[in-house]
Amino acid sequence: MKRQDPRRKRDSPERFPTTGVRPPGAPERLRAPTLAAAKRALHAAETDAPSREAGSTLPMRWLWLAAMIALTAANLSSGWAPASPVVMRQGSSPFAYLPAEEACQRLRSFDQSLVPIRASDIRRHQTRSAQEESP
Amino acid sequence: MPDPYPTTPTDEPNPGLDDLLPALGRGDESALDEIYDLMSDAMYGLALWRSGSAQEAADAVQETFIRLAQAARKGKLDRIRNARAYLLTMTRRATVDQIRRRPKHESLEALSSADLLLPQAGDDPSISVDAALACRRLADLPGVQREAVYLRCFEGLTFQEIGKVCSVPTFTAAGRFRLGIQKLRRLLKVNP
Repeated sequence: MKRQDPRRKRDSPERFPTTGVRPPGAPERLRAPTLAAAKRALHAAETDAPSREAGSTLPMRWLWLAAMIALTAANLSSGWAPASPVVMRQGSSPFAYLPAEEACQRLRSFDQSLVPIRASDIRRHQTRSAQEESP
Repeated sequence: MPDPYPTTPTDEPNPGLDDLLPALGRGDESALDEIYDLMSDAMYGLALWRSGSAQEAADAVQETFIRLAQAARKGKLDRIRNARAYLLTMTRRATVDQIRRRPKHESLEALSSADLLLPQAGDDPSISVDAALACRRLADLPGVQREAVYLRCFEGLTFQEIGKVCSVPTFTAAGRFRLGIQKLRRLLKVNP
């Protein structure tokens, strides 16, 4: 006689008390708005399906990436070099939409306002460091 | 003794539902109505047991049907082999998205107000479970265990199917079910 798998008995339906209860069904008021929303989504799909199939529209993220690459290439070819790599890493930098010359000017003024370091400051720092290192 | 699993196990072929998804993929709008009639109760029940909130469950069902229509327009419904499990998987994902949007301090209040079980007339009252008491006990279970118990006991899914629906290994699904059942049986003081 074939031996019964103990796991099969452990998972048998009789081990859970579901008698006398049932889970609630979907409320009737849910039917109309749900089907209306789904059919709207289906119709919206049909209206833009031809352009999608013809390949006339690319996904927006690829268009965005292509625009960023073109803008970077235009900036680099115009001789503009970023003074701060942090600005270049920020995709939402307002400098990306400016002409290269104007962006350069703004970037320089931006850097100077943030880091007002003068040559005398550097010399003072070097002198202090040398004094601390000497015994 | 009445069968505690009234629904048909999903590993058996379900020709009506399995034919509706390709029909919807071909743009047949009436297929949506038939899918709703066949599956809305199961989808709502799963969302309710997972989230514990009637409002979130309704939103999850609506979101699932919108995603189903979007999948139809992208031609993703032709390759579906188990339509029931596919729809339940979509429902579960929509429910989890709803739960993630929920503020943390609202979770307990939402759970305590949900009716997870309703009394069913006609069964032997001597062996039936008090629905109100069972609801309170169910609210104490983790959501992942509740959904495993629901899918196994009320939807008749196999552990393999539960694992696919919940995106976990089969043994994990079985473990969640057993843990949930053991806690429920202990809390309800029901003999095995």
